Amino acid sequence: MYTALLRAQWKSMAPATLVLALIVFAVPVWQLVGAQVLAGGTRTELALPILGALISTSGVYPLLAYVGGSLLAAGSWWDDFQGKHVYALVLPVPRWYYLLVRMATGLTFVAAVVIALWLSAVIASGMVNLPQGLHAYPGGLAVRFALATSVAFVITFTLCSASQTVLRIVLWSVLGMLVLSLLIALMGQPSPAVWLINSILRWPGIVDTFVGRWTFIDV
Amino acid sequence: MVLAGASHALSAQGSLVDVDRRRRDAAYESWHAQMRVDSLADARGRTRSADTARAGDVTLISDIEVADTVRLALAKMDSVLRRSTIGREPGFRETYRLVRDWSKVRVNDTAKVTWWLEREARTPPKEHLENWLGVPTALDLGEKLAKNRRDFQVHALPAAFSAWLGSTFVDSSLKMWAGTYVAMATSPTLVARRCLLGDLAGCREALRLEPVQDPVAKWLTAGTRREIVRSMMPQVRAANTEAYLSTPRDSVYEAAFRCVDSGDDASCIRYLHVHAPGDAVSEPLANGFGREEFVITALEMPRAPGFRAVFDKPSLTAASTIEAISGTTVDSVMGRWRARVMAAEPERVVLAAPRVLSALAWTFGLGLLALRGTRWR
Repeated sequence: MYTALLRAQWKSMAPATLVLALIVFAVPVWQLVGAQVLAGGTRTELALPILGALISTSGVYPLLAYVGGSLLAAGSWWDDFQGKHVYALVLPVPRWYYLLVRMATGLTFVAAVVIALWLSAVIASGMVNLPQGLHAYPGGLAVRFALATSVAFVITFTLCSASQTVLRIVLWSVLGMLVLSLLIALMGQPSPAVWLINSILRWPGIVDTFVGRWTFIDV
Repeated sequence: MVLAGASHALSAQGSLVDVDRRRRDAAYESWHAQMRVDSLADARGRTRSADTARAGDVTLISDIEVADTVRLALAKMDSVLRRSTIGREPGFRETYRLVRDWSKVRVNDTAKVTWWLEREARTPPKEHLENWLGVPTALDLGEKLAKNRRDFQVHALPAAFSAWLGSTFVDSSLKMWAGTYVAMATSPTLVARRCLLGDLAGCREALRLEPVQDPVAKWLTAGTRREIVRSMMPQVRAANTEAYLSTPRDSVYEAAFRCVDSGDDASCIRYLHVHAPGDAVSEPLANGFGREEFVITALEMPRAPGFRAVFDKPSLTAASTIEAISGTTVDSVMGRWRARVMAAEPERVVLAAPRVLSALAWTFGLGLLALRGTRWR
C-alpha cells in the first residue's frame, strides 16, 4: 500500500518536489559563493566578513524548511481532496492506518529534499578552503533542516486531516486570543500574547527548531 | 467723437484702478509694519518669560513656549546617558540654551523659524552646537545634549586611552560579546589564539593594550604568512604587469613570488611589511572588537571608581587608565572579560540533544493527533 501511494503521489507531486529539491540544493552553494563575493575572497583574514555574509543570508533555511514541509504536507492530501476522499473510504483498512501510510509517503518526499540539502552542503563545503577558525557543519544543517521540515510537515498535515468544525474552532480560538491580547494591551497590562509567542519560540516550543543560527559554516 | 469719449472713459477708469492699488499697497505695508512691531514686542515678552529646566548637572534655558519639549528632551538625554558609561559622571556642570533666531521675526510660519542650541562656555563666545528649522523634537534635542555631554567628558579622558578605544559610545547595554568570541576564534593571529586558550598575556596583545614592534613576525605563523601572500597573488600578478602600478622587476613583488614559490619566510615577511592586508595584523580582533566590552568590564568591577578617576590625567596610558577606572589590575579585569567572552560562545547550527528531542516530540505528538483525523466525516 505504501508503494502504491508513493507512486500515486509521485505522479501528482513530482514537478513540485523536483523544483523544491533543486532550490534546496542550490541554496548552500549560492550562499557560500555569495558570501565569498561579498567578503572579497577566502583569505584567512576574511573569516569574519564571510561569516557575517553567511549569517545575513541564513534565514533562507528555516523559510525553506517551513515552505517545503507545508507544501509537501498539503501535497500529500491533494489527491484525497480532489477525489473527495472516496479512495480512502473504499480501502479495506482502518482509517488510522491509511493516514499513517499517507504521512509516511509525505515524509519520504521530505527525506528526499533533506538529502538534496545535505549533498549540496557537503559539496559546497568541499569546494572552498575555509579561512582559519571556520568549520563546516553540513550534517548539523541537514539534521536541523530535517527536524524543522518535519515539524512544518506535521503541523500542516494535522490541519489538513482535521474536520472543518475543528478547523473553525482552531481559527476562532486564535482570533479570540488575538482580540483578548489586544484588549489587555489596551488596558495597559502585560499582554498574554507576548508570553504565548515566547512559549512557542523558545525551547520546548514548537517553533524552537526554526529559531537561532542556521549557518552551515561557523566558528 | 464716440471713440474719443470711450478712450477718455477708459483712461479715467485706469487711473481709478491705480489709486485703488496704491491704497491697497499702503494699507498692506502699514499692516505689515504693525505686525513686525507686534511680533517683536511679543518676542521680547516671551524672552523675558524664559524657562529653566534641570537634570542632574545640566541646565537648559529656553522660551516658555517650548518648555514641555525641553523637559522631555532632558528625560531623553538621561535615558541615553543611562546606557552609556561615559557622559554621566557628576561634577561637569553645563548650561545650555535653546534659542529662537529673532533675526527672522517676519516669518510667521513657526515651521520656518530657526532654533539654536548653544552651550554656555566658561569664556565667551557661546558654542553653537546645532540648529533646527522649526522647534526640534524632544528626541533630537535629547540625543544632541547626551552626545555633547559625552563628547565633553571624553575630551577629559587621557589621550592614549581615547585613541586606543576609538570614537565609540561605550554603551553598557551592548551585546557584542558573541561577536568578540567570533572575532577571537576566527582571527589569523597567534595572540588571539593564545587568548582563546586562556593566556591573559595573549589577550593583552590581542586587545592592543601594549605596543608590539613587529606584528607580522610576532603574530603570524610562517604558514599563515605564506597563506596570506598566496591569497594575494592575483593582485600581485595584476600589479606586476600594470606599468602604472609597478615596474615589472619591483623587488617587493619579487618577494611575493619568492614567498609563494620557494616558501622563503623572510620574503613573506618583507612583502607583508609593505602590503599586509588591513586588519590581518593591525587588529587581531578585527575592527577593535572587544575593547568596548573590556572597558565595560573594568567599570563593572567591584568598587570601581569609574571615569572620574582619570579625568584631567592626560598622561595615563590605556592600561593605566583601565587600572585606574577599575580600581584593580589589568589582569583581573582581563580574566573577567575573557570569561564573559567565552561564555558568549554562539550556538551553532548543530542542535543540542534537548532541542532535538523537543522537535521529535512535537513531530510524533502532532503525527499521532493527525492519525485521529476526521476530514471525511
